[in-house]
Amino acid sequence: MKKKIVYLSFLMLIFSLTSCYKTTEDAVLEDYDITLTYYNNEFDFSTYNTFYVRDSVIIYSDYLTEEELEKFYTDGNSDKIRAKIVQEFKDLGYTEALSEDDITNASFYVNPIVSLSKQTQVYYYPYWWGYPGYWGWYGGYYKSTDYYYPYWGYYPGWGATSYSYKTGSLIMELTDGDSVRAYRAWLAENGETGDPNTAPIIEINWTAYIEGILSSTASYNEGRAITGVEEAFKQSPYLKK
Amino acid sequence: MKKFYILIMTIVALGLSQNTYAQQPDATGFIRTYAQPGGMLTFDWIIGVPMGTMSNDFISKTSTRGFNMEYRYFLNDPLSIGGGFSWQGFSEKFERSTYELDEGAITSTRFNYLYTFPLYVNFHYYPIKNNHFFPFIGINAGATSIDKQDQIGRYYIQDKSWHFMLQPEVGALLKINPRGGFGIVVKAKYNYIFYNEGNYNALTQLNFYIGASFDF
Repeated sequence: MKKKIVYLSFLMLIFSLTSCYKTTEDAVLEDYDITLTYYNNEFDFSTYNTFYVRDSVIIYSDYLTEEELEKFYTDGNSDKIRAKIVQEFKDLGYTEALSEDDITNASFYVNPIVSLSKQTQVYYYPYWWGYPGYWGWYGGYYKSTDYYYPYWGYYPGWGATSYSYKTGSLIMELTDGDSVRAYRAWLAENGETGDPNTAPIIEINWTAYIEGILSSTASYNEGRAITGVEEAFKQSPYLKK
Repeated sequence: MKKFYILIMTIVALGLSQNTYAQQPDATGFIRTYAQPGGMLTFDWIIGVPMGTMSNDFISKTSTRGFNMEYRYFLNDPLSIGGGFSWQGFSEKFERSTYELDEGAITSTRFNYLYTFPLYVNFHYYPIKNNHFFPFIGINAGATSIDKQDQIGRYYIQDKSWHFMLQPEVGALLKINPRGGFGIVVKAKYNYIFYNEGNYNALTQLNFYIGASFDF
């Protein structure tokens, strides 16, 4: 009798432990969205007057097909992001360069780059929980498996599942116009075979990095990218002319 | 709440029915079932309240995720020595916000996590003789493994390491049936983890325990 009671108590303890791990903080997809900016804090941005944002967003992906990449541009995603960036810089007091001559001599250039990548990981779970998808979802985004089982190890007979997710990043780099022109002049003089150590440095005075985990809904992802652009400019009051 | 009620009723039923190791009262009427040579095994549920810099700078949210298991061997009335281990999980979510950096800023949701796994030896003193109610004071000392994470978005900085820890303790054992080997334990421990990293001198919590004990 006594042994049974102790054994039962120990079992209750184990069940308490397993339920403990399942009640961590709730998270939704937007919770993993990050907007990060950094800048040259010795630079005076008010010296800039005109700007030019590259006419289409560059996109890199390790899983999109050529057709899907094409769709990114033809669906207007590229134009919407670019238009948003242009508007933000105009609101700060800068003038968009429109003529070819103005573009050539702009104070700064902005290159928006979108990077989409797919990541796959494998997760383990004890079979008696019956939640094969649970850990995959929660752990999939940012945790390694040993985080959850630091003291118990991987028991034989525990199940495993793989899970993949896709991340999307939008990077904006504000490059100094004079340094770009100096680089182009060097390129014209030395060609692509010139010693890169002698090339002038392209100055990047502000960078914004917007990242999130993609959902299957394109408009939802686009909305989060636009929100990220807004947050990046909100974080950067020093950009105001 | 229903689960809690069932648990309490089960414990009460166990307390009333458990008389396998009943002992006879001595000449003074005291039933020598506790704080006598022999041992006691306890299982506890822990409620943890972060304190100090842990509460101010890392996690302030009370944790209900924790358990403890320990053994005490009664040397002679009124002292015991023993040991045990426990596990606790603390976490807190901080809604989306902007944090200034030296040369920039970051906006996201933050999650902080702390998991502790102390292994310790204990020493207790039992000042009062009684058939039902046994208060005690004690000290627990040992080492604790911690898994501390500062997470922003899907990125995190993790510190997995071992540290010394001390736990001064007060509590009491309640014997529903003094003749039985079963009891209910309530206690409080001030958990002081020697964690001298960054802004921290220590990670501290005030932990409340409720559990079941079995004479062993």
